[in-house]
Amino acid sequence: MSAPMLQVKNLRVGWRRDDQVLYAVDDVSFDINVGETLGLVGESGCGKSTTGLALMRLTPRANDTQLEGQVLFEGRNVLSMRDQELRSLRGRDISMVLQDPMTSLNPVFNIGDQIAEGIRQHSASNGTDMRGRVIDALRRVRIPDAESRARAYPHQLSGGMKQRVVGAVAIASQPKLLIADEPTTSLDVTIQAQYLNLLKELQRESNMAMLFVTHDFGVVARMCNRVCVMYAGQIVETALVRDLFKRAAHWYTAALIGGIPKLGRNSERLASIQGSPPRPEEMPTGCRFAPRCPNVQARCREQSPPVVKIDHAHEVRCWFPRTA
Amino acid sequence: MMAFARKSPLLAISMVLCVTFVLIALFAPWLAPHDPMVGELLERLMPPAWNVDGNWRHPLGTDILGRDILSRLMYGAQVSLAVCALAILIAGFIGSSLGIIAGYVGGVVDSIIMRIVDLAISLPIILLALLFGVLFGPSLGNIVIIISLVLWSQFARMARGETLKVKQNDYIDLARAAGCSALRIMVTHVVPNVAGSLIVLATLQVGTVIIMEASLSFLGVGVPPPWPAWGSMIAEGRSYVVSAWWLCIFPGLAVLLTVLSVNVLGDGLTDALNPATREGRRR
Amino acid sequence: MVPYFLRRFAEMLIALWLMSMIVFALGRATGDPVALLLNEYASDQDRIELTQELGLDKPVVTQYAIFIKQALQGDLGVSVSGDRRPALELIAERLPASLLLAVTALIVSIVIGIPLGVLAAVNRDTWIDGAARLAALLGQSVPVFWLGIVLMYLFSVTLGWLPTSGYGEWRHLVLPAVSMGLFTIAAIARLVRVGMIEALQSEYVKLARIKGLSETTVVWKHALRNSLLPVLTYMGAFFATMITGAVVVETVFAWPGIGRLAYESIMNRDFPVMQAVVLTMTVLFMLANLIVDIAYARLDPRIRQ
Repeated sequence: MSAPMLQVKNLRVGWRRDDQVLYAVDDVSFDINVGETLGLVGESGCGKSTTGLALMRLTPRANDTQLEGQVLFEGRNVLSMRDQELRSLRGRDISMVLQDPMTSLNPVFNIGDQIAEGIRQHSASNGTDMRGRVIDALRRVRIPDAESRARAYPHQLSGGMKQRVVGAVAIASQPKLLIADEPTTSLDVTIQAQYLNLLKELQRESNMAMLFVTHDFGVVARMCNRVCVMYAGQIVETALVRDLFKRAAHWYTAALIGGIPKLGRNSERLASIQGSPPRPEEMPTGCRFAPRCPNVQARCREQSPPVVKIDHAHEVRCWFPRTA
Repeated sequence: MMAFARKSPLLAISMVLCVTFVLIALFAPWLAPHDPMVGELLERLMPPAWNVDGNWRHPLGTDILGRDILSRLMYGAQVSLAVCALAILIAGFIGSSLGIIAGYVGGVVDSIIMRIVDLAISLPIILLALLFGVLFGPSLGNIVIIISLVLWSQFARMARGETLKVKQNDYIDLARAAGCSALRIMVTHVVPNVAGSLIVLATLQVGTVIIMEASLSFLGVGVPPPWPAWGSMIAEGRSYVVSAWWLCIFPGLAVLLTVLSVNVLGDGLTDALNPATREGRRR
Repeated sequence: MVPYFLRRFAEMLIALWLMSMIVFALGRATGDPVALLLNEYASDQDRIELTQELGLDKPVVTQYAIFIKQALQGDLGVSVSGDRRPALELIAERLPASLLLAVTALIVSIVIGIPLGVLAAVNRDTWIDGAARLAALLGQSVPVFWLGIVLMYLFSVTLGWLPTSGYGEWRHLVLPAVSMGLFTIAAIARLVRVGMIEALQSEYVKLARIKGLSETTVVWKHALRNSLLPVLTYMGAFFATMITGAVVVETVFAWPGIGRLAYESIMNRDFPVMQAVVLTMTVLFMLANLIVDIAYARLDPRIRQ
């Protein structure tokens, strides 16, 4: 079996505050294989978006942000690449779809130009050829009337359309890995399904891998092969999607899944977890979920749990994982 | 307190300077070593004390009539402070009131008031100021009136903008539903909420007003001589800039330092109140 | 969009009309020109003749009507001082100098101000940013007339690099243009800085980086375009500063422009010239504002609809 296309090893993203370093992402490791879709799930603030950004070295550029660890894309470490190599990686090898379509597109340029700009960055192309490729990109994201729409400005499009354009920009140069950061959160429910189908088709057409950053397990169920669950900056469980839903090994995962309303059941109260995740300044010693865990034991509070493999492709960070 | 001074030394210095300016302006008659209007001709055009020909009786030198520059600067501060305070109060009060009314009442009243504001802004002020000054003679009152005429439209615009924002809040609807009169709502609900930004605006205008007053005095339509205004001191000293540089450099520096500290203060205030420009991470 | 500009144009005309009334009224009230023009040996007959010649015996309203009528025909009166030249001629003579100065100051402000703001924003929180902000603050705190005098003292008198006053070569232009432009440089730099900081944190800049564009392109093409709109809005206020600046700077540097003409004519109570100059400056000012509005509409595609 060949090496995974993307290998993230011990990634940490931190920033300096006063004389401490606080980590939003603390020792995260996972792999993504060619053509597969990995989900990265967690509550707001758990560090999943930051992880996604770090893969392309796009974390906020304040002077005191630091990245540690390795992000190996086809063997090359993104975190230590030179500028030129990084820019060639971005857009062509790895690309990203952002969350809010309202603000993702530059309001002063038309959408055709914005797509063309990305293409031009990675390949030489003359005028007519470029126009053809732009229209092609628009068609691939199923925007009707692509020829006339190419000259439109972002504010003239609906939210759903804008998000497709963002998708067009992302895939215009045929990336091998697409990171989708909560791409459907800002869309109407009716549009969400369409958009997810679109992403699935695009993936099928070009065999690109995807990393889906989301808080929505429904999306995970539809789109992903495997999934990582994040909590307080760490990955607490990694599994195949069906294994996760069938038998979540981490208590946090179980609680999250338990909170999903299911059709057919009579309306019981939705399970919710007491408390809230710890802030970076106040990380507890020992397991980070211990204060809220229904199965907490003394050891959990004292020592940080290691990552244990409990099955083929199923790992969990827990002293006393759930069984059955 | 010291932590604050260490963290933003510029802001701390500015605050000190501003307070000094106000104190000097208020207590000039007691602080000034000499009478600003009476000069000793035998001591005319004396250079500042650190110069060979100067002495410490006149630390900053004397002018062509032998009047002590330092004392004149102090009294000049009075002029600047008076013009500032009056002009900003008047313009602020009238402008804000009109702006709030325009914003709250809306409709035709709003259109009319805003048209007037647009008109006021489109008239070239210095020309009117000159005409005014020449017509009615230079005096403190006239300067205050002119500057107020320039300033009120700024307050009106901001007041209207802020009022429109406040109007969208639910408590306004509640008050209306409870039967409060428009006037009462405006006074009890709108005013306290827009006061903050208006005060910041006022602080930002102080610098502008001081420069305006200095410019008008320089051109001869400000406070008339022999009363010392920094602008007219510069005008008087202009012809002597080569031989007696201290005549116009010091008043200019006075303006510069005062306006600079006021601006730094104003900036600090706006930054503190506006979350968008706050330094630091965006999470 | 067309109705919008028609309305603006109408408003301009009204403001102009208002201004003409104000100028006329103030002009008439500044003192008796007849007394100014005649010396003490003039006889009553002389006085009557001159009064009639200047049309001062007619009722004020009629005088105003005549004034407007003549103005529309291009006759803005004759100077009552010196050589009795037509006001329009005087203006035409001096206008180019003022325009030259104003345009130069504008170009200087933009060319220095915008990059300064960008530099400060890109290097936010470093010493470069601090220095730029302090410089901008200083620039906005200096009174223009004093700056002119100081620059003159430094560069002309002490260093001898530039002439103190005069008109004719580029060297005469430097000091006045810098004096006039400094405030604007500072203002533009600050506006651009704030706009750029916000733009650089935006999602569309993130998208530009995702595409793999170079940082230079991201900053100067994507971020800057969006930060320029507030600068354009400021341009309206800029022209007001320009007019004040014109009067003051031209006076300090003895620059032969209409600003100085305005000042002199007001001080000399030469009210035909004064009226003419003030009205001309008002028209120019309003035209400038109109152009700014048009440019703003063109630049922001969201308004174009």
